[in-house]
Amino acid sequence: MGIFGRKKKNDSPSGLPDLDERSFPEALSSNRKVVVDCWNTHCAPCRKVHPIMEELAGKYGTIFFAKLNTDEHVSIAVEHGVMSVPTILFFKDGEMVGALAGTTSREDIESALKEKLEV
Amino acid sequence: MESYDTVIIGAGPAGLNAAIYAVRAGLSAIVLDGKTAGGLVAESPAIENYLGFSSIDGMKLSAKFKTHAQHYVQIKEIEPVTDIIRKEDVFLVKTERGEYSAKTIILATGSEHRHLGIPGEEEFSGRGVSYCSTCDGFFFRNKEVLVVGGGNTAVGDAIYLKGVGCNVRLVHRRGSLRAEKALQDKMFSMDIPVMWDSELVEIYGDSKVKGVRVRNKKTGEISDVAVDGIFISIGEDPNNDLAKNLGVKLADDGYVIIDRFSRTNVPGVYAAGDLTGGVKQIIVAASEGAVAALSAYEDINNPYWKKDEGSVEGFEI
Repeated sequence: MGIFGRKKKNDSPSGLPDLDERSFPEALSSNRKVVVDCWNTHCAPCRKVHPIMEELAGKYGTIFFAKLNTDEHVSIAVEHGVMSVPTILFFKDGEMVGALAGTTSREDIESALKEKLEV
Repeated sequence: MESYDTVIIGAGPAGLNAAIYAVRAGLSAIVLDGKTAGGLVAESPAIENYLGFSSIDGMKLSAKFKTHAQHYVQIKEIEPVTDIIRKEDVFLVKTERGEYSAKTIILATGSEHRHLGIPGEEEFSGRGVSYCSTCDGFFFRNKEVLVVGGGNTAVGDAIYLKGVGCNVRLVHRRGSLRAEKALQDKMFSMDIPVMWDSELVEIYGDSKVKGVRVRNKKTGEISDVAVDGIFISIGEDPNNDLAKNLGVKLADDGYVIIDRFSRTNVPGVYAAGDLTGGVKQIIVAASEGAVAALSAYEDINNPYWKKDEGSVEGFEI
C-alpha cells in the first residue's frame, strides 16, 4: 500500500488505504484535501460508513480518502479528538477543518464533505 | 423493473430469517436495507441467550446470519427504501437506486436507539455521549463512565465497559432492574455500583463531556457527577415511517400491530422483529420473520383477502 500503510487481512470491508503513525502525517502533507474514516472492528455502525466512503472516494477524485483503525492507532484518534466511532475527519492543507461523529447517513457525510472541503 | 413475490425491507434477524423461509418455500425474494445487514444485534457486546451459542459477540452472530441468508437471497445494503406504493395487487417499492415490484411486503425495519432528550445530549454526541458500548468503550479506558438504563442492553453494556477497563456506574430511574437475573448477577459480582431511582437531567462539558446533573427521583435532590463518558441504553423507538405510509395500523407506542400470522391490517403487508414491539429478542425477531414469510407464501397462493370476510382465523386485529 506504499506510504499509506499496509492493508491487513480481514481488516474491514473497506478497500480504502489504512493509515498509521507514519503514513498519517505523510497523507496530510502530500494531499491537499484528506478525509479519514475512523473505525474499529467492534463497531457495527462503522460498517455502514465504509461503503459510503468508498463510493464518495470514487466520486471525488481530487480528495484523498483513507481509514484509521482506532484500536490499533488510538493515539492518533485521541490526538484528533475522536471519542466515538464512526467519526470522519476532514483535513485541508494539512489542517483539520472538521469532524463528523456518529452518523451513518450518506447525505450527511456528503454534505459535510462539501461544506468542510469546499467541493 | 425487477419483480419479486416478496420484498423484505430490513436485514436484521427478522428480515434475514424471513428471506431464508420465503425462498425455501419457493418464493422469489430480495432483501433491501438502508444501512448494512445485521441490525442492532451487531452492536451487542455479548449474546448469551440465543439457542446454539453459549456466548457470541453480536457482530459475529449477525455476520453468520448474513452469510446464511446469502445462500438463498440477494441482500442489497445501503439501499434505503424511500416509498412503497400499492397499485391493486402489486406494491411498487422505490429506493434511492431503483424500483422493484412485489406481490407482498415484509417490513422488518427494526428500531433505533432511543435518546434521553435532555440538554447536552445532542451537543456532546460523539464527544462523550455514546449509544454503542462496543464501538466506543475503548476510548474510555481508566475513565469514569455512566451507563443509563436498567434493561438487558444497559446491564450488558455496563459489564462490557467494566471488562475493557472503564470505571463504570449504572444509573437507573427505578429501584430495581428489568434486566434478566443472569446479567444482574454478573454485574453485581463485578462490583458495578448502581445509582437507583435516579435520572439524568443535563449533560455538560466544554469540548467534551465533563459531567452530568442527576436528580434523585425519591428525594428530588440534584447532584453533579463528574464523568468522561455516558452510554445511553434506554431502549429503542420503531422505524415505522414506511409502515405509516402504507396505512399499516400502529399501536399507541408506534409499534406495528400484527396478528399471530405476522400479518398487518393491510393485505399483503407483513411485519416482523423489533418493529412489532413486545419482546425484542433476536430469537423472537427471527421467529416472526419465519412466520411472516410462510404467511406471505400462503397468501400469495391462497389470498385471504379474496375470500369471504372473516374466513381466515386470527386476522381480526
